[in-house]
Formats: sequence, structure tokens, C-alpha cells
Amino acid sequence: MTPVLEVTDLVKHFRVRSGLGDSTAVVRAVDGVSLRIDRGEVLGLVGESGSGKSTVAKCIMRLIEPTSGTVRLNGTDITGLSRRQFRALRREVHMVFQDPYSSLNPRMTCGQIAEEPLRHHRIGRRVARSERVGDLFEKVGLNPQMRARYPHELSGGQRQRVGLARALAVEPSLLIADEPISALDVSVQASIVNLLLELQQDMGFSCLFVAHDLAAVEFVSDRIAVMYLGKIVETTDRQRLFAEPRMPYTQALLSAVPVPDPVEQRQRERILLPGEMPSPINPPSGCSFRTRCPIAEPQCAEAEPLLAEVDGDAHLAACHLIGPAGEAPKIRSTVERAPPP
Amino acid sequence: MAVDPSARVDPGSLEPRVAVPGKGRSRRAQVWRRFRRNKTALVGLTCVVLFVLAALFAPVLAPFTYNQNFFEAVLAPPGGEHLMGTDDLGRDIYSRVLHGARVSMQAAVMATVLAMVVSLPLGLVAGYYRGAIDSVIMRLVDALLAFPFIILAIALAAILGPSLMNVTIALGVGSVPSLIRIIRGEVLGLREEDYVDGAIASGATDVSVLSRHIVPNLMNTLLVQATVMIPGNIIGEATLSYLGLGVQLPRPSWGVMLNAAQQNLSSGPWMLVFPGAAICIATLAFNLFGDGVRDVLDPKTHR
Amino acid sequence: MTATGQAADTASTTQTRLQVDDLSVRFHTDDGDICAVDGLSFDLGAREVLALVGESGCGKSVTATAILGLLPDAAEMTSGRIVLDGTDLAGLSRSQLRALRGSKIGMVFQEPMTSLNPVFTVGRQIGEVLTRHLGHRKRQAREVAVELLDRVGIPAPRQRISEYPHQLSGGMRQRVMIAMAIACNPSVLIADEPTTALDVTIQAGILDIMRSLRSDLGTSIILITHDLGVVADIADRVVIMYAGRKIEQAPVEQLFSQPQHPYTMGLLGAVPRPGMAAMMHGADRRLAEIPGRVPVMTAPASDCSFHPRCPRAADRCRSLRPELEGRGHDHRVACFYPGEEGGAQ
Repeated sequence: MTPVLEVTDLVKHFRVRSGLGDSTAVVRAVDGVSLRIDRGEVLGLVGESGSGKSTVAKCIMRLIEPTSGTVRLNGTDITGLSRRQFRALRREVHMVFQDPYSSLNPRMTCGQIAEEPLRHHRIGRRVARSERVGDLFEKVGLNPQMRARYPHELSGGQRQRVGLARALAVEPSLLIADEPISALDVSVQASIVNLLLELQQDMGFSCLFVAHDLAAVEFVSDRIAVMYLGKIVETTDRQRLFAEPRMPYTQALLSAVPVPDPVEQRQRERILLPGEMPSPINPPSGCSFRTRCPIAEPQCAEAEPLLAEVDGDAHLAACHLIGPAGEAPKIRSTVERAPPP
Repeated sequence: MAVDPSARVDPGSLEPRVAVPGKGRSRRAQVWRRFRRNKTALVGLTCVVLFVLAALFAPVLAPFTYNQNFFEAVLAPPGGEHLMGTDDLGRDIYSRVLHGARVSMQAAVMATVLAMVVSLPLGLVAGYYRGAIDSVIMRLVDALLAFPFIILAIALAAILGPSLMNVTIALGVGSVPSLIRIIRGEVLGLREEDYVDGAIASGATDVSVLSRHIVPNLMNTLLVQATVMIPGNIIGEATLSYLGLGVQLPRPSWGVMLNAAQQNLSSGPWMLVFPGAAICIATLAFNLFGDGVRDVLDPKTHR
Repeated sequence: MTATGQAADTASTTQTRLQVDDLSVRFHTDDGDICAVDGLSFDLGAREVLALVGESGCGKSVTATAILGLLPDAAEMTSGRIVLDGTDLAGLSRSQLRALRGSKIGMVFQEPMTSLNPVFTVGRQIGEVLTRHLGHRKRQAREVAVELLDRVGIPAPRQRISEYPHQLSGGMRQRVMIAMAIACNPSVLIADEPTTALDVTIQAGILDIMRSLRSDLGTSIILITHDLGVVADIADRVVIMYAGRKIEQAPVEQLFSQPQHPYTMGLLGAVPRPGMAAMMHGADRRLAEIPGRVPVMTAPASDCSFHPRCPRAADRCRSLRPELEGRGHDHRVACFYPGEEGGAQ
């Protein structure tokens, strides 16, 4: 079966003016990303700010044009299509944005916003469309009477629901959710996560869930891909990633997320990473993580590790230090906890 | 849907950061309520309304026509039959000021509308498409901006020849360069909004993105700009008319009246005082009103 | 400072550094008054990390600005006493308060970029704090600034000191903010969402610095956050706020193991925990939700403000306001039906 989404060697380089004068630098925001999402699957794309995860999402939507690489949507390479040709295919994919405030046009009613995809794809007549929007509102847990409201009258969670209604109006086969909950309060996050899962199971769309919040990604995703500095460094199914992370960065990331349980949290071994993510203008040679890796060896600076199978084709990781049988490199906990006062 | 939808209607969500206890009011009503609290702006608005009424109903309100000569009362001081006195040709200054408001408003408003009509498409195209077309438009704008607005307007008026229509065109075209620049800047910001991406993702064409998403959100900026441009154009019209590049005799314009007053400064200072005061009050009123409008509408001071 | 002597008589571990008593803050807005904080009391012991937890609009940041004396013009402190090391802040003049900020109370905000001046170097900004509050000479201030940057874990502090804020990453800026906040060795540090804008791997480092401040310098910390993971990591005691009022307070282990208020329970259930999804299948994979929204309080509550969202709400909750009552050692909750069983005591 053809996957819903197949991204191959996606590259997006931005040119930026650097310093004074006309010299330009290249920001390697996305540097060779490949991923696939099967029908009905939720892929979590997780990474810290600057890892390029949102750029991947926007390239798939062609909201920005990729520098190279292909994006296949249900088997069709959309990178080669003209804007006009792609417009018809936009039915197959839609997006939920991070900011519930800037993602809805303040001059349109919520009903008009959710109706937009139907209008542009010329689905149904006015009355039919209006009915469909009413159904959509119920589906995302909004009172259909809210169609007449303007976004500023709604709370953040309600706006995010309107965004979901718009995204799902034409029943796309792929939903891209770019940090859909990170701007919301904790209790609202829970309701949006629940809604997303419920709709996904009900409508069966595939989903690329982009987030920096590992706990939320774990909760919603079937498979997870970890990005670091424009590249995917590890990808596998949810259980395996959390049980047996191979790449040292994944290990560190998992250990850095605080668990909401003081007893457990204070006993966990944590790997504290030195420094910060290097600039994508000047990525390090070899492995891009080596500058912060607690166990980096000279070979890591020489060759770039490729994403390779560590445990069959279900688990891929990019690290020179992974053992021949796919065993994860051992990192001793690098922090001693300060003793309690 | 497995779950009963009625149980899930209007679910958990939090109040937006700005708390509005009396919610559900329309945006327009909110804007008006905010504006009303600004007393100086209300004074400005009142004067603006009075001027507009004066301009509209000048023929009815004026006791005399603007070119009726009272030769028995040449240079009569204010008071009595002639509220503001008469000029050196015995014409009633009050009537002429009222008719002058008509000319002034007509030129200022029409010039502003003209500038908007010309600048909007150019600014939209430059800001939305960027690239080569943006470069071409903006270089032209830069070149024109090298001349101060009034110099540009004088040059245009001189080329076109004196008439109310030409003054309007000169003033309108004169403010096009700066207006294009403002609109382009605003469009550059708006096209980065997520809702524009949302519209594109929904399959919207460029025309639809521009007309439904960008232009409606430009309206506040345009309105604020209009309130800045109108008083500028009132002064512009007066200046051009004063220089003889504007309205042709015998139609009165505040600028023309000032020009006539210049020769009679000692014998009839009221010839200077009343049209001068009209210009001052009109521009001040528009500026006060404009400040109030900006406070409630400008996206940069209010989110 | 007469009260300090009296406080010193008690054991040093229970010594109160900061005491907030019946704090109420009202905002005068275009649309009427809003009660942002209503009758809030808590105290902060020496070397203690107290977490103020709540969702946006619960009044936790307003509390911080009130303590710092930095309330905006539209806000008014309608009641309350704030006592820092025995000094009642209400009795201080503006300039005395200003001297207090930065010397005895340090502050760290969520967004370090807006709190740092972009046109001065990092060293100069830290140095200014030192010269203003401690009267250091320029050279001396520079040396101390280097030490401070080193202490907050900034590598190569001697080079960093002559850099400008925009040359630093978000995590580094937050470290600089902490360095400035602790420059005068304040007894209390107020950290308002200090790690919210940062990545988790950076957050871990910032939390470690705060921990070391507590253990090495004996700083007491008020941590304002909505992140329960951060609370679990670093807090000693937790105050849960809802609609401007304190609804529960407990030592951290107890709060997480035996939450008493239905809102606290809801918050804890709303956050996914590792391994949770693996145990839930199909339609069962759900997080606990708290339906409804935080009310905007236009007047002090006369009932339980959580009742419209509470699964346990009864008539009593709609007509009476529950006051804080003890539920075990140092555990207080404002609810008529607290605990697992809904208060079957």
C-alpha cells in the first residue's frame, strides 16, 4: 500500500544576509530528512527549537518551497507540481497551527473560517456547506451556534477547535499538527489531545504531530522521529523509543523531561548536556550532535553517521557508537543531584 | 462519532489573557466605546462633523453667495450684517469661509481617496509577491520620496495647470509614494500571519488570499492613514491655492482668501484671521480625531 | 530590622524569609474591576523552594509583581501585608523599595530578552547591579561579574562578559538573568516561569543552577510555573492557585501522592506521564479533562469558584466559599469535599 506521505531527502536551505555588506550565509534548516507515514498512522516529530521540525511541516504543505528532495502525497510527487496543479491536491493535506491567535483571520466568523476549504475546493452549495460546517463544529466539540462568532470572542482552546474544523473540513488523508497544544493551558492541552486522538480514530486520517513536548508526543504517536539540527537522528515506534533509545541525544532528551512525580523524578538518572544546539549556519563536521555528546569520539568528527537499522527496519538511528548488534552506547549519568538541604 | 456530541459541546477551555467580563459585544461597539472615552478625540470628531456639515450645506448656510459684492461695505469689519466682515471686493467673508470649507473638504477627501486607490494595488503586489516586481515598485517609490510631498504636489499642479481637479490629483499622487511604502510594510507583516498560511493550505488562490485575508486586515491601517492624510491635504490645498495653483477665481478657497488678505493686512486684518483660523481649526480637529482613531484601531498600539 | 532578631530565635530551618498575608489585588479595566488575587497568604522559609502553580489567569504572576512592588498602574493592592526578613514592605518609600529589588529580592522572568537591555554588554549590566547596590568599583564589579557568570554555568565567562544579549542563546540569556538576580546574594529569588521559553535540555541546566543556589547560597526561591514536571523536580512546597485564591497547599510529595482538591487532581490527570499511552488502547487513550473555563472574578468569590467545573459540586459549593482547612501535616485545602473519597470524614 502506498504510504500517505513519503518524504525523501528533503532539504531546505535559507539564504540570510550575514553581518554587514552583501555576504550571505546558508542556514541549513532541514538537511536531508526522509520519513514516511502510513495510512491511519500518527508520526510524532520531536525536536528542540531550531531543529527544523516546523520547516519540515511547512515544506510538506508547500507553504515554503523545499530546496531539494521529494514529497510524495499518496504516491504523487508534489514538489514537481505548479502552484495551480498543487492547489487541487491540497484537499489531501491540511494543517493545525501552533498559535490559536494568529491562525484565525480576525475579520472572519468562525463559520466562514471553517468553511474556507469547502469553498475553495467548490464542495457543495452554500446551504450544504453551511450544514457541513455545523456538523464539523459538533465533531470538534463546539456548539454549532458559534459559527457566527468572531475568533476574538473565543478562548484559546475553542480557537484551536475551529482550526481543527477548518483542517478537517475536506477530510484530508493527512493532518499536519504543528505544535498544536504548546500555546495552551495544561487542562486545555488535555482536551485538545483527546479530541485529536478521537477524531483520528474516527476519521482515520494520518497525522504528523510536530512538537517539542515529548510527553505529549509519546501520548499521541504510533511512531516517533527525533530531529536534531535539521536531521532525523532516530526513529522507531513509541514503545521502543522510550524503552530503548539508542542515539545519545535521544537518551539525553528523554532523561531531561521532568516526570510529574517528585519521588520518581528525584531518583532518575539524568544526562545533562553541555552547551546548546549549534547554529545551522555552521553545523559541526561529522555527527552534528558531537559537540554536546558526552561520549563523542574522534571518529564522530570525521564522518557523518547515517540513519541505519539497529533492530530491523523498525528502528533507525544515526550514531557511530551504536554496537554491532545495535546496542545503545552507554552514557553514565553526568549529574550528581545536589543533596537535599 | 461514538460519543454523544451534546455532551461535548463547548468544552474545557480557558479565558483569553485579556479578560472581558461583558463579552459578546460586537467589535464595532467595543471600538466606539473605547473611542468615546477619549475626550479630546470627541472634540475633534465634533469639529470634523461641523466642518463636513458646513461643506455639504454651504449654499444653504451661507447668508450670501460667495461672489456677491457689497460695494457699499468694502472691507467692513466683523459684526453686524457681515459676521466676519467683508473683503476688499465687498464679499461676505463668512459665506466665503463656508464655501471654502466645501472646496477644502472636497480636495482633501478626494485626494486621499485617489491616493488609496492608486497605492493599494501597488502596495499589495509589492508586499505579497516581493521579488523583482517589489524591487521595481520600491525603487520608483524611493525616487519619488526624494522630493518632499509639497514640492512634488507643486510640481504636479504646475504641470497640470490650476484647477480644483488638478489640485486634487496633485495632492493625491503626491502622497502615493509614502502610502505605497506603508501598505507594503503592512502586507509584508500580514502575509506572515498563520491565517494566511491557513488560507493557502485551504486551497485559496492569490486573489482570494488578498481580497479576503489581507485587504480586510489592512482596513485599520488605511483608516488611520486617511486621518493623517486628510489634514495634510487640507494644508496642501490651501498652499497650492495660495500660490495660485489651485481653485480658480472667483471660487473661494481658504488659500485663495489668504492670498487676497496679504495685500490688505493693515486695512482688513480679518481677511487673514478667519480663513487662517478655519485652516487651523480644521487641521487640528482632524488631527485630534485621527489620534483617537489611531489609539483604538492601530494594530501596533493595540492588539 | 527589629523583627529579624525575634525570627532568629526560632530554628533556622523554619525561619520565615518572606511572608505574604491576605494579599488582594484588583485591576481596574475598561470593562470594570477584576479581582486578580483574593486573600492570598503564604510564607517562604529559608532555603525553601515554594512553587506557585496555576493556569494562566489564576493570579500567580500578579502575586509576583505585587511582592516586587511592580504592579502596573491599573492594578491596586486592596489589602495585604508583605514582610521580607522582618521588614514590612508597605512602610517603604519608592526608593527604598527600588533598593530592595535586586539586593534582597532577585527576580527572573520568562522572557530574558525583554528584561536585558540590548545596547549594553552583559558585563556592564551585571556590573551596574553591583555598583548600584553594593558600591563596587568598575574593575571590581567586572571581576565579580565574571565569577557570577561562572557560577551560573556560562562557559568562557571572560569572553562572554563583553558580549551583547543578542549574541547569546535563550538559555544563556536566562543564565545571565539569574546571574544579575543573584549578584547581591538576595535572600529571596522570584522566578516567574523561568524555563517556559526554553528547551528541555536547557531547562534541566537552569533548574540545576537554581538547586545549587539554594544549597550553596541558601537562597529561598518562589517558583511560578504551570509545569508540574518542573514542580516535581525542584519544589519543596506547592501552592495551587485558582481564580486568584489559594485552593491547596502541601509539601511536594504529598501534593502529588495525595492531592485533595478536585482541581489539583484534574491538573495532575491532565498531564501525560511516560508509559501512560502504552497502557491505554483505542478509545480509552484519553487524558483527564477539566471541562469549562477559568472564571474572571469581578468581585471576591462568595462561593467555590471552581464549582462550575467540579464533578463534586453540590449545593453547598454554590452558595458558600470553602476556606482553607488542614488535611494532615502542613497540607491545607479549600474544598468541602476534598480527597479521594470526596471528604467522607
